[in-house]
Amino acid sequence: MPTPSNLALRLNRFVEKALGENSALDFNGHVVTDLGSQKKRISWSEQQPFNPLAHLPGTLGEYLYYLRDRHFSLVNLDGSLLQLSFEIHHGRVVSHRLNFVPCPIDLDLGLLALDTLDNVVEQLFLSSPRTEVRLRSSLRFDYDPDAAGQNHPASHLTLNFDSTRIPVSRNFDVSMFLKFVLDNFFSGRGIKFGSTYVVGGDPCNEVMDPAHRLVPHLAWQTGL
Amino acid sequence: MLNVTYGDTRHADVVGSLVQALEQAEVSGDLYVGYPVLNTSEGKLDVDALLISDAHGLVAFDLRNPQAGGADEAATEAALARQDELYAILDSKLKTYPELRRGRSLAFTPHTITIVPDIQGPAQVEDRTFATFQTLAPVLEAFPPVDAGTVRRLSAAIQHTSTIKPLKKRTDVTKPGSRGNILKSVEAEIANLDAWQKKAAIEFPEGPQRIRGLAGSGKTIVLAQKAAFLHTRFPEWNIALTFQTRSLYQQFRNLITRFCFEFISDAPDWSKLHLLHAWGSSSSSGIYSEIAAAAGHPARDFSFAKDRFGANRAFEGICRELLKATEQNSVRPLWDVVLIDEAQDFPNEFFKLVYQATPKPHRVVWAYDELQNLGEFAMQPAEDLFGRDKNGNPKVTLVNKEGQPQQDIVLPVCYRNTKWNLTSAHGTGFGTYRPEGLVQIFDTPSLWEDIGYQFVKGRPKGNVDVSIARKPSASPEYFEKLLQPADAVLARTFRTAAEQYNFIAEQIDKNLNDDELDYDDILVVFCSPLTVRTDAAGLAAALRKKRITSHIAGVTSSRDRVFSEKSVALTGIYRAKGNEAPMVYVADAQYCASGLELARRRNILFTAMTRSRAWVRVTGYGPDMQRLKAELDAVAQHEWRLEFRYPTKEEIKKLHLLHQDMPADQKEKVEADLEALARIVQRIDEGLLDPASLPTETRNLVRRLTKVNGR
Repeated sequence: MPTPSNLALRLNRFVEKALGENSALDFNGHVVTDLGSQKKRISWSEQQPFNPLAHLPGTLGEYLYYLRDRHFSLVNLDGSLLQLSFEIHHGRVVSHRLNFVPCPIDLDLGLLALDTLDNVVEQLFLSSPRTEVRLRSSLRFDYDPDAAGQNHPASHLTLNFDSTRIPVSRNFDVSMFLKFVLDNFFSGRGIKFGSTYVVGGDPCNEVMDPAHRLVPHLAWQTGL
Repeated sequence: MLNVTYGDTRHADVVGSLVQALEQAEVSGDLYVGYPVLNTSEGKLDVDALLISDAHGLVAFDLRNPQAGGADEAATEAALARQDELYAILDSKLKTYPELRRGRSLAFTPHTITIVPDIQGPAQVEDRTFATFQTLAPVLEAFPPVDAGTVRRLSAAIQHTSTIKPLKKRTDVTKPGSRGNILKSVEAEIANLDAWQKKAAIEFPEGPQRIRGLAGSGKTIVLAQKAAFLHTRFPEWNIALTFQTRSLYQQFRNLITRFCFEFISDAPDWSKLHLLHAWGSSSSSGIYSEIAAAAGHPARDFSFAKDRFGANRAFEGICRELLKATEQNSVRPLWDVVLIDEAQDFPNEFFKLVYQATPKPHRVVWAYDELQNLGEFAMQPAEDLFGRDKNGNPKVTLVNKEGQPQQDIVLPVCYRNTKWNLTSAHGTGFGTYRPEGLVQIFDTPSLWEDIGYQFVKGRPKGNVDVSIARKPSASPEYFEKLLQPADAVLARTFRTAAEQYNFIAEQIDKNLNDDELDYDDILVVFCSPLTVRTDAAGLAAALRKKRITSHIAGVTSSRDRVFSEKSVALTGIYRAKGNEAPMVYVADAQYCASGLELARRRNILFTAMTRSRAWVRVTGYGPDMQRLKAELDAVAQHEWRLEFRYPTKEEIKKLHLLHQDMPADQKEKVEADLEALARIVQRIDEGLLDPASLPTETRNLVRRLTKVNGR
């Protein structure tokens, strides 16, 4: 079971390595915040308070908000963002927010010589919508058993709409999430992602309500 | 001595006579013409002329009632009313400054004088005074003197420089002598404008104006004050202030707002005073995009510009394209005044476009860091910037005439850097104590004195031994009082990058925990532009081990504040520009010691070092850093003087050729050749190649190479 400081250390080593290996544009350090009642949050260091509802999902505003207010763990070489955030209570992960936010445009890294990433994305998004813009949703794996209900699986995938919650059989650990992102969004694109640094594995426990097994959902086996 | 600042030229003849009369009376102090603009319940009030003097205090001149004091009673009444109004406004305005009060009143009495050609009635009506130029001297003599401290505070109030005092209170600074405490003292110094800054902020000629100054000479504040002053003086004007670094937007907005409140107790009218990035975008207007729209030409985006013209020439390319288009479709004037900051970053084509977008007399004000890059070629002369007319005459020439607002102003005092840091930065930038000789030097020798140096020995002529030092007047006194030279500039060499980062992390830890500095007092600048991210990652890891968070500034967002209250800012050289911090760590400085395009590398070091407002630590690793450290140490050993044999003109030309930037293809070839040479040496070292077996010619070439360095 991860301790908060251990998890923060692993996340920090990952982002530092990614930057050090030139696989990322920017990073934030991760810190442990005491939430009271022995609950701790391990998340990117916030310079501004994070409001997950500040913008509608899948909008340019959302992407620019994350970028400009530095609400990210890592900015990848293609301009996409990773948000890695966990809450640990009594030695167990009790919630996580693992968000992959694609860049709204196909980024030409050479344009960063002209201006910062946010201005490049904003300008091209607004001036060349037919050619530059890519209609891609963020993919957010949330885990929050306290909020679980009939239409709200404890672990779920949200994409396209904020109300979408595709059931996921287990909570994620960091390395599984990063592998998921690498395999599905970077493999074969010729763009470096992440790091060879192994972030370490934590248990991904079965958390799915049996009723959700009867509908399309995401699941994987462990311990093969 | 009488320092005259011409904020207005409407009453030129009378003002000229006033200045003459004051100079003849040997009045010393500051005379402001057409400044300040004061706010009343009935609108704005221009002050025709205002004198601040130790000997005579504060005197406001009324120059617009020449008929007063004679048979024309109405004119006399008008003059008396004006004097009352001037007194009332100045009195109430200045009473808002506690440092100017004594009890409930001002610590001095503002005086008012109406200047008339002759006086037929009483020269004094209660506290209102009439004077001719001939009777002015005895009238002024009758006014009591004011102590120098009050005069300084009064000047700050009139210049509104108390507005620009740092907002950071440093209330948690408690240890005497800590760096935090020293900073508190430095920041508490009243920032009066010096004579050149006053001219730059207040004077506006009928036509273009150039403001040159070292980094840290106060140009941003001067431009902001100028914009605010012009806006309050001429509220009907469309004024544009433009810049390259987007983060300047907020800085200008804040400063101008504060100045406007000081001037007229009101916010600026942003529909008349426009802060515009040079390029602009679909979401925010810029100078380029506005002119394009006015010319009916599509405003190009980054992608188009880079693809068509290449990343390095992107903005130049689109400006050139637009300029061509405006030859077909001329542009109607868009702004009455355009102020340009960071002018060295803009291509000539941009200036030509701005010239077109302003009506005669083309009030274009451009400000740039003289020698931030140590290459004065960075800024073209006005004749080249704005081009020539059909007859081949330059569209703009800058002429400074006595008694008129100046068109060409140099700001020689650097307020940001200590003289020890600035001299070290210039010294290493030029390669003054480099064993192989100079890297670069000014083409124009007069520039030395323009930017605040003096020749202690020799003159800037070829083959003459010179010794150059900062003029005492070119550096604020408080640095000498509050800082120690040995602590102001430190250089350290390490064996590896990791050792270096560990040292920096230890020092930052000490800064935060012992020195009473805050996170946002610290800036780390990485010298190598190509490896910023990987270098930053190494330092971030070292800082994290000390539980210190850090962030890279200016890569992903322009709207970051570079500095954060919770994190140390790490940045590359291009994003460091325009920013400053009390404590600056210049990391991986060995990159600047040697290599191709050495002038550019030395410029990087200069820019990085001059980000510091108090202390700078230059670090790096390996033999190159040892050599660089030796150069820095030599500046200190020479007691902060640059002593060298001044090169001849031919030698200066040769330096440009040797160390200038290379075209990309040439650079590639040279780098390939160097790699091949390195492989040959490696083969010899590994015993795979016998040097004796090399052809004789090759062996001779090698000998020549080793002789060049004297080794």
